[in-house]
Amino acid sequence: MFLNHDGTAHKIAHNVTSIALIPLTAWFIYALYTLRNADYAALEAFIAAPLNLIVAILFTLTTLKHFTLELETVFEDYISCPCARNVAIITLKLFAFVLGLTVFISILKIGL
Amino acid sequence: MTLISRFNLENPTIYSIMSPMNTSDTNRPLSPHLQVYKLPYNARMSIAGRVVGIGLFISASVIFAWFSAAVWNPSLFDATMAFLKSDAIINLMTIKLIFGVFVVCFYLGNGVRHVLWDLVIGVKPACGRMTGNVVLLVSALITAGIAALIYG
Repeated sequence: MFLNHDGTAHKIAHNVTSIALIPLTAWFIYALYTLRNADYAALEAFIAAPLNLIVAILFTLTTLKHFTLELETVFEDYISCPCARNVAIITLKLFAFVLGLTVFISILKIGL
Repeated sequence: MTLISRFNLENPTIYSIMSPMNTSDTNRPLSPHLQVYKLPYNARMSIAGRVVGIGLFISASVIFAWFSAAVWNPSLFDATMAFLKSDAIINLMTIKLIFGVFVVCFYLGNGVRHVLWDLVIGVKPACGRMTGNVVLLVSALITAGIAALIYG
């Protein structure tokens, strides 16, 4: 177990990201609906709009942060071996970091 | 005096109830056995929320990774869209969109319930059942709205 006593900060961050994700997810459903018949050029035009560009970045990074916190809780609840639990949590965080960086750069590449 | 005697651990009857360390009665029920114990509504909703959360994490990871790959290789985007839109068996794109909207709405509504519980709002079991049904109903309504937009 990570003995750095960050349970309260974890809980607050989980709740704050979950509230932030309400409007962001509404935007994501709107984007999915708008782009359901799109080709790549339409996707490019959609994300190039400034509001969509910024909200897309906010949505992806907030989603990854929220689910990292969620999965960390699941690992803490169900993996009893401390060593395996730490490996799982560290792997999860590294995975989320790499994926977040990748998708951030991708959105910038297509939108700028 | 009566209070002390009620919590007297020398009393074997009280002891067997109070002490978790007493293992002499091997026939006593342990923690809820899922084979013989029907979980209450709120427990099932809680488990569903967690399962959906894990599923959404995997889905989001796949979508983000696919999106990134498509940005560096645009033909992948068009190929995926062509596959999803092909009407070979069923229109996968529409089905996925409708199913995804329902699942996301359920997860969001469940999350709102959790945030409200943290503020000590609606924590009674009956209230939990009511808000759980509200979440399911609202999710179904939003999903029906999206379906109507797509097919209408």
